[in-house]
Amino acid sequence: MSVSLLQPSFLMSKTRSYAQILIGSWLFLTAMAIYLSLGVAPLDFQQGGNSRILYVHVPVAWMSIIVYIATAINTFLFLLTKHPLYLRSSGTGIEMGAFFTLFTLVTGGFWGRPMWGTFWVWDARLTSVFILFFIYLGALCFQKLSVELASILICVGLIDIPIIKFSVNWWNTLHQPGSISRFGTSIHVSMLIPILSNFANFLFLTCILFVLETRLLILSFLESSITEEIEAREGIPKPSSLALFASMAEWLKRPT
Amino acid sequence: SIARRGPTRPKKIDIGAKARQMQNRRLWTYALTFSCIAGFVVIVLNQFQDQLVFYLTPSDAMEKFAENPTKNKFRLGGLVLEGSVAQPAASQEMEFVITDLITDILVRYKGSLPDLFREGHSVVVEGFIKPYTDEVRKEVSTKPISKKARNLDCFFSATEVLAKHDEKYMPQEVAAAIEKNKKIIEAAATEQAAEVAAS
Repeated sequence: MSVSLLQPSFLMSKTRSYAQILIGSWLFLTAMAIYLSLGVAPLDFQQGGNSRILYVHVPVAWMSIIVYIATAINTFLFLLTKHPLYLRSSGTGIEMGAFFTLFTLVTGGFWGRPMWGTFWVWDARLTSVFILFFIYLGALCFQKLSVELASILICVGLIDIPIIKFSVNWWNTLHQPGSISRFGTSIHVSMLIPILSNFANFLFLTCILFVLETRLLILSFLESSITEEIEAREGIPKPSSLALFASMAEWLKRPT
Repeated sequence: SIARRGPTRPKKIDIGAKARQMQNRRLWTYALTFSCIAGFVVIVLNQFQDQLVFYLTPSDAMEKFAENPTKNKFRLGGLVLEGSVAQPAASQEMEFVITDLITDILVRYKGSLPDLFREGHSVVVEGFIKPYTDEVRKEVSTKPISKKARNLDCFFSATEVLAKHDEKYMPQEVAAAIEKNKKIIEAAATEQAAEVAAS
């Protein structure tokens, strides 16, 4: 069973048959997260409505770090095995991580402008996240020159992750220390739930995009015997959503 | 014909074993390189520990200023002393006292304050430590709470004031409830103290 899970034809057919459920539940999660963070969550006693920015800022910051760790594992495995699947998924990780990091920096700045009184300061937390963004950008650029170089950069940059995590504890910074630790949280539950639901939402989106990227990679081996195998496994090709669109277009173009 | 049949036939190469061998070699090379770089970064960060802090406490800053009075640009972090914010009529600059509970220092600042600037909360100020002149002495307010700060022979002329948020987030209602409960507990404590004193 575990071997058959790794087979491309199995992945292709299963992700296709579960696609509607997956995307549907992601849409539901998104709607719930937006409703929770904009409708249900109460105003903060100090910040007022500005605390709503944190419902996006915190999950996105977590995502940028989680995606980085996943990408570093991928690139390290690529360096060892030179398997194209690791290369492709690390490429996806770099793109998404760069986006998440930029989003973290921008939302943080917009929160800091009214709250701290400045958009940007060079304290340890902000600078280390800025460096993370540049590692992502550097890897994006190096990918076009040499994938090995980009992979090595990502692996070396892993040292930045503990620095980001502990920067607020090691040095005194303007950025507040982490609210959630092993010993409990200092965020009230009613404000923690929107953060967690947004986090689940982003995590789910990332997983879906990774799977889609893997599908693209498998489809790029069109000449191989995989496609035949998929067709054999699925039997008669089902009407896909694309086919539905095509039939809709035909229906619209029908002579009246 | 004997020569052809003999040792010329190549041995079958085990590709899997070869690949594993190469992977192992790569693993050790990369692991060694990356751990060297990580160690280097850790050493560098330890060396520059002093430069990496964003702000100093007033006590540290006064110590440094006493050592080298020509370098007077600092970033101070501390609590705004409750009841110390004032706008003296004689000057355009507002003033407040920041404290690390050991050293108090008077801060003078002209400009707009961030939303989170509150008495009793953390703040980071950037600017210069300057010795008091007679002119400044005349301008500062005479609040009793800032007496300790005024007894120092220098004050802090801020160019920028940043508010620092703590890690606590809670809804307004919860904060109000906590304040109310605190007051109830305090009242109970004073009542008890009064009873003890009476008996």
